[in-house]
Amino acid sequence: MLNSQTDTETGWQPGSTSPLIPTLLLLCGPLPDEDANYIQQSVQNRLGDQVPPSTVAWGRLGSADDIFEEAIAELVAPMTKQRFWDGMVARGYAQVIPYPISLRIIVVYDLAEGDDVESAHVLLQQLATVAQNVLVGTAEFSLELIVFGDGVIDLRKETLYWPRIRLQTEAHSGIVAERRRIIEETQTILVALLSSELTMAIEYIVRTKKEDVGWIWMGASALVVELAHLEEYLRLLILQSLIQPLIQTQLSPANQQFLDRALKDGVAELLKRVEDEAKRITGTISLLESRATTIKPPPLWEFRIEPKGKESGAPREIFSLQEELKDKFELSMVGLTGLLKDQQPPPKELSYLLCGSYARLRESLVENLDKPEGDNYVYLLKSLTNILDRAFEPKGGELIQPLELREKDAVGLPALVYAMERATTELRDSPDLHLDGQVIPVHPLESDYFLTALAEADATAIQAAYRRYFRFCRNLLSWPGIVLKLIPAWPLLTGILAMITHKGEAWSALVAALALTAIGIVDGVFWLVLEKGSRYRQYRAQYEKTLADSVPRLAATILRDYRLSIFRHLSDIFFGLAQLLLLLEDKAEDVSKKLANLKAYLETPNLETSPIYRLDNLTVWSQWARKAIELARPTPYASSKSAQIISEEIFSLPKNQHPEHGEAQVFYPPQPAAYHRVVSEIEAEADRLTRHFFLSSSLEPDARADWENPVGGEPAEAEELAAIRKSLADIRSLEENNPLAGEKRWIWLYTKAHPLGRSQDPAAQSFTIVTLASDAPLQGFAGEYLRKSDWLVARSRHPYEIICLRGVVETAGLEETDDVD
Amino acid sequence: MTWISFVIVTLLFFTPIIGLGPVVVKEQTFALTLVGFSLPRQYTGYISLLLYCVGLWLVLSLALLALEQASRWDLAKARLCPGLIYAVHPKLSNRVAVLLADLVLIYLVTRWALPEIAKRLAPLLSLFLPQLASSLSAVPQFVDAFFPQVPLGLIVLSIFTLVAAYGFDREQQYRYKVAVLRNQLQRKEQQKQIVVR
Repeated sequence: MLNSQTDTETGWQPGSTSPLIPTLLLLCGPLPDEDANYIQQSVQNRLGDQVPPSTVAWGRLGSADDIFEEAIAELVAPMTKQRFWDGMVARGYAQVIPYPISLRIIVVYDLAEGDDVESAHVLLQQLATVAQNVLVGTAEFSLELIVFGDGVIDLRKETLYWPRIRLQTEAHSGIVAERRRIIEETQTILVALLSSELTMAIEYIVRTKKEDVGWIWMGASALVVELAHLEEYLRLLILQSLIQPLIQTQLSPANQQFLDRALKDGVAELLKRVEDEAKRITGTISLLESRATTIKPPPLWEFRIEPKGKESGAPREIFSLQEELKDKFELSMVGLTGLLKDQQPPPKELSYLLCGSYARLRESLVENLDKPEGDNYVYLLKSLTNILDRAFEPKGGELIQPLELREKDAVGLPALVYAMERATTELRDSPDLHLDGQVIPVHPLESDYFLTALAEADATAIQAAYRRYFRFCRNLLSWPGIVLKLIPAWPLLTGILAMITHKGEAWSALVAALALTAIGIVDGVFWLVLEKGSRYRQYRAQYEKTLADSVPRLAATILRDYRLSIFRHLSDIFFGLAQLLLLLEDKAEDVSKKLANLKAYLETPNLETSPIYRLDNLTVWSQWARKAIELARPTPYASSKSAQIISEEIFSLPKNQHPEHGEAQVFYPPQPAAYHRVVSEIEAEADRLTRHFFLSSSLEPDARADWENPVGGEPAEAEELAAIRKSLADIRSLEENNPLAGEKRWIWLYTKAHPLGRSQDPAAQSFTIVTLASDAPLQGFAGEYLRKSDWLVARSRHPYEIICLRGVVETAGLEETDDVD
Repeated sequence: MTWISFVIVTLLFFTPIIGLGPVVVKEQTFALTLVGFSLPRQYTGYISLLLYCVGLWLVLSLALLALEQASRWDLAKARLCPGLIYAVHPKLSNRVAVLLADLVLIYLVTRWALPEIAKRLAPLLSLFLPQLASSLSAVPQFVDAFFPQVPLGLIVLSIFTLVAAYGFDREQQYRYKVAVLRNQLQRKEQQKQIVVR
């Protein structure tokens, strides 16, 4: 069989591949610019990335006057550069840099009937001479020629070119093709020349001296065999529709106004609440100070709260603060009060103990702040997240919606960034965060600096108060001491009384004893009970006041620090989101560029796509892509993984770093990797939806249940859904009755590739070449037809197109000659 | 320690009715002539009592102080009498014995001085105020009539009280100094010597 033989001259075998050779493609002759651009654009679109665009240089030559050595040298120069060849080797297009390097020059000449043949000869010969002058000693090069049009040209003068291909409107069989058809088939031949082993295959067929061969009359047809382009197109459409609502490019003034209003009513209200709370706490502290005398025991931390109805002397606000602190601090206070026992000196490590207690207080307070329903900041973050969620899921979900987002367009990252900027500005401008016109520097919540300072100050105050009390106690006689001091006075007083009264010693001793006992008791009661108790109460009051001051101050500071941390965190998120927005904008730009290229390729008119996917209008695909997104989501939010990533990793709320060690909450700035993960998640989502779409169009009816009966389908969409279902049904029936299924595709290709030209040579040899990227089309029942035929298979680099080339090889000297005219 | 010794000695000799003071006075009454000056017989017993008291108090105090030092027992920290060493309050109970002793001695001096002064002043005043001088001559009789004689035992006890109070003051000062020194030593021991080489 033809396909199994090896060319003895070149060693080339059908199906084998040879290195890619850089090509200079010159469009020559009186070819209108419109046609030239059309050829170049179409060929470039169809080749895409399958043949690296840098390996094909395009040039345009109108007449022989345009040919300058400099111009040709300039066109060829990039392909002779070391860097270019390094790239060729690195990408595997060549195994080593050949010596000398190889170049191809393909000349396409438009020779319409009545055009000046002489000038064509001059141009072609001069071009060959110039190429020789430029490239000799530099590179090994080949000249290939395609002449299309009905003009008559003498082949014998163009022997430098090989192969010499011709296309005419009047075909071999007598049928007449349009010029447009000729141009399109020329494009297909060019694609085959550039992407496959066509030249080698022709040489393999001819197997004679090139000089003995005349024109090769050719026709070509192509078929898109892979769905990859269409799948990619759909994927890009889905990706675009996923990214587009996120980036929304511009915020309209109406949207901005709406957001301003929403922020004013919502976020500003939240901020006011936060501010009020801080003011209330700090206000209560000053109230505590101003009315310190009115605060009776029970002290602040014992939380013996009076019934509200009763006026107990202490202001009501203090009791409400007590209640609140009790809720927030709970058990932590027990540890604090247990530090000092009655009459005992404060422990030496009091400041450490206080610091530990304050840390526990802080922990319980921050824990309390962390409750989603309990904290304004978390609420604020959730509200902002909601803007983002709306971007992912326009229908909205069950998340809280404090901002009452109603306008559909007020979503997406620009809206979020705008809202974030406003929120951080509002937070920053809050007066209680300023000191002398400067924003108070943030003590991170995890820092113990403030706690240590506060605990040390408090411990010093408490210990000083105790020292005063201790000094008093040290200078105080005890009861036995009083007795000891009074005993020597007894004989003295007895003697004095006996001297004065003359009533006898016994009487005097008794009276003296009684008098001294009375003095002792009165003195003892006054000093040891009343005065000592009063001094002790003074000390306890100092201790209580210190703690009563510190605890709300600590609470206020924690709240302020928390707020500052949130502010800082919001700033981090703000910059992070701005970065993410840039990333997504880049991605969107990339996607739309790719889409445009792919669309241009798919809409190339001369490319016969498989009728299954040959759609009149690609906008239908856009609609389907959108529908695919909506239908493939069983429940709202289930698939908005990106929103989840953004919420979890970029909007990260405070988390306990070491809950077992009782350390404070820590804010983590959003990690740059998270932005990339968001983008890649969106891409993965697009892939998933694309797969779902393609799978569902070929699945059994039962398996398509979720596709055709999506959850949450609204009556308004029923008609549209019905239309989509009908289209899908059409596709399925088309596939079942595909006119190009099985061997039919080969017949179709063969018929379309009718050689365009009329040869006079009765011994002309005809051939059929098929370019294939893989052996897959040769397999199975469909490939059997090809396997049985004598068609030659040339390996192609283009996986999505099968090109069929049919040709008639004339013997030299017998070609159509001047005598026709 | 001095105060405790004082309390013990006082109780031993001066407890009303059962105190050993009168016994000592009775037994030690003898005639004594020192350097040509013969002491009245009734005083010798009381002088002996005073010497006995002070002597016993000194011995007892020193013994207790030595015992305290030997046993490293800090009275200042003893539960029995906290504050006894540095006590200031209650002022009356703290100072009542000394106050009474002061009172007795002031009374004694006043009672002795008043007739003497009157006797000396009368000749001078008779030149200018003869009436006042004649009334002054009645002062000794007045004092004898209305101000009773101070028993000698009481005088001894008062002197002994003042001596013991003085001793107690000295002990307080000594203890304070020792405590300060001890604290200084303790701090010095806790200081870290930084040697720069």
